[in-house]
Amino acid sequence: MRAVRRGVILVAEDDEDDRLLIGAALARTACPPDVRYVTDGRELLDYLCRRGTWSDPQGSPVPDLVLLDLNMPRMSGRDALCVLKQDPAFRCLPIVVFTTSDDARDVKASYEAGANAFVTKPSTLAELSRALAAIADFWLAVARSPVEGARVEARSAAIPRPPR
Amino acid sequence: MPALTRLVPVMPSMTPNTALSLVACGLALALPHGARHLAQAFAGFAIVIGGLTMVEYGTGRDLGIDHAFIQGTLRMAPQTSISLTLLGLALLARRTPGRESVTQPLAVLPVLLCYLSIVGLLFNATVPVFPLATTMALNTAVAIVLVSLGLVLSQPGSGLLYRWRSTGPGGRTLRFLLPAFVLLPPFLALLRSWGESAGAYDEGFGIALQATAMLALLATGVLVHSRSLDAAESERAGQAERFRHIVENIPEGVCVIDACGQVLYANARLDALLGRRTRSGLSLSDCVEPQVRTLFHDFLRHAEHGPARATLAVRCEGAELRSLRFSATPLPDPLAPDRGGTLLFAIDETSRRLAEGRLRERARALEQSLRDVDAFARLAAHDLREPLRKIQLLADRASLDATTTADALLRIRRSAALLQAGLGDLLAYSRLAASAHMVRGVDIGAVVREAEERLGERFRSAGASIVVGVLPTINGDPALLCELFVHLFDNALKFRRADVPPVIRVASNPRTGGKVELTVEDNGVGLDPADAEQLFEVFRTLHPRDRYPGSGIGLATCRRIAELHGGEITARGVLGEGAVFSVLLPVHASLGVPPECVPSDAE
Repeated sequence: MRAVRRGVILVAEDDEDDRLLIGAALARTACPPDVRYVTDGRELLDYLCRRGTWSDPQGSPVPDLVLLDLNMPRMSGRDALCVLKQDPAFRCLPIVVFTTSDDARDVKASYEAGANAFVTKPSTLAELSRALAAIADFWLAVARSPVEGARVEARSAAIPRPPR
Repeated sequence: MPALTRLVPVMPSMTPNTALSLVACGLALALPHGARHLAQAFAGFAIVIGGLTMVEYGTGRDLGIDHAFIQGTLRMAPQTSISLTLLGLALLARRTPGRESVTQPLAVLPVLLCYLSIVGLLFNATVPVFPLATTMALNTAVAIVLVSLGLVLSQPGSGLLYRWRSTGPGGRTLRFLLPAFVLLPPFLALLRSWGESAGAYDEGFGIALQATAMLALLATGVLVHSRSLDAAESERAGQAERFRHIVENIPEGVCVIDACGQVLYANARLDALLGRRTRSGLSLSDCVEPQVRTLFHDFLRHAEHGPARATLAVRCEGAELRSLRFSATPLPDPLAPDRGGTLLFAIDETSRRLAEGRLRERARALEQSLRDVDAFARLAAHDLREPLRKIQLLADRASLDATTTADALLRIRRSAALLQAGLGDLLAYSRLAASAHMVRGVDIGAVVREAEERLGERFRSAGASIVVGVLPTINGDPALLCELFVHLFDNALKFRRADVPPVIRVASNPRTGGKVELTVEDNGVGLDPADAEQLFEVFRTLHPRDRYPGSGIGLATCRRIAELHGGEITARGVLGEGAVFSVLLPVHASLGVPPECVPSDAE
């Protein structure tokens, strides 16, 4: 049996309470992943392209999975999703939309933009834990990660920085 | 036999030639159309007999015609020969295609000659200088009159019978006067001679009496005729006036133009539509806008062959542009087929088009508003559910892990406060459109002071100062405008820089188009120009909630208030150096009224 690499999950979430709750739930899973946080779409792109605060490869490991909130300030999850899925360097990076919205239009638009899954944030802690455990288990243990195989290359020049 | 030929013993007798000719005339009249040539032959026989007898009288020679059929008979009277010749010619014309119209004029002289003879016989007349003048037999005269009458009756479509049967004033006059004029003069003469022979008066008085009676008869006839003509004329004029009245008062413009487009007639409504007096002789295409003139000519050309329609823009005298719908039909002139004109109707479509445009505009605005409401409801549902969901999750977490209780309670309280603020703002926002707005002159300076007072505690705790320039008075709702400034000041205080005491400047600049720009400038964290538009969307917060509290409704409310006043709001700024919010408002606003649409162009 090969050594299981500790999976990296990048959580893009603007709400501090949600970050806390997601982190706590992921920490209680059987094989707790390495969880990193960004607070909006721009920070997500900066992290993946290793710009600014995230220029150090050690401090910002390439994620195996992105948990993406849709409603965020500055750059929304919808816009970030479109940018990432249209970029050849990040197209195969698994992105699970994790949002309060259960609007059918959001679900459809997200899948059309290339999201790998769409999960509505549960409203009880038990359901939240179960959902996040299932997501972590599937994407980090069951599914093959592109990080191991055709490794996602973080290319700092791949995505132009959005205008300030 | 003599009784038959004379009728009355002392009177002249009908000759065999006359009798034969009259039989020929009767056959020429009575034979059916199929025997036309035979009829022509009989008519020819009468002409030959009559004509030869005339020649005999003219030359004084005996051509033997008188004895051609029966020996030892007399020659027919000269006026009988003239009458028979003309009657024969009339019958020939009646039976010859294309010559029918001369039939009745040819028969006039025979009838008059016979009338003379009958009346002469009635009075036992003698002509000493020309004794033969009184030798026509009574039965001959009556027979010739009857054949002539037969000729008249055989032509119902023309001549005397047609006039007799006409319903117009001519027919009435004829039916009344002709019998009177035929019968009364002999009757008057009879009366006169009866009086004379009775010795009541002498011949001179008799002539005077008859002349007077004839005058009375003729005068009555003329009077009857003129009255009948006048009545007909006034009836016609009344009808024409009634028609003119109808045409002048129908709500459509009506005009008649000739083939060159010159106006022959136009009603008052058309004048009103075109905004000018359309005197006859004016060319209608001059009234039409130059760019649609070709179209108008095409339309008129179409109208020459059948009904046509066109809607065209027409410039009226007062430079007002109207959209008129024309429909045209050819108007043939029955008296001159080559001179037919065109009948045109014009309807003003301007107001209908205007109303249509307005309706479209309203529908568009309504659609937009529905889309806004939809988007608003989505965002509201999402953003208000979020704190609730977190309260639930945090409570779950606290009940599972007692060590997190204190932290959870803090977070729950924060979420609850956010929820409450959000609901309050949402309510206020939704009330904006629904509440009845009071429009009056509003002193912006006073509104700014009031907004400052409402946020007094916030100003003091932030150590903020406010600089107010000269502010105008504009039309608007004071409560809404105060709300606008409260939100803008609240925003400036919220996004202040940690180390710099906030300074807010309020100023105004007059703008073109009856508008004024009000600016609220701060020295806070500023904003990214790329975000300037997103700022005003409901629930859009540019900063993470934990750093700057807010429901994200305040600036959306500001935009709604500006739009309700017919204005707009924009933001500009530099990150880290402050922001400027600019509200462009009309000086004379009328709340909630969509802009008037412009009339659509001609088809």
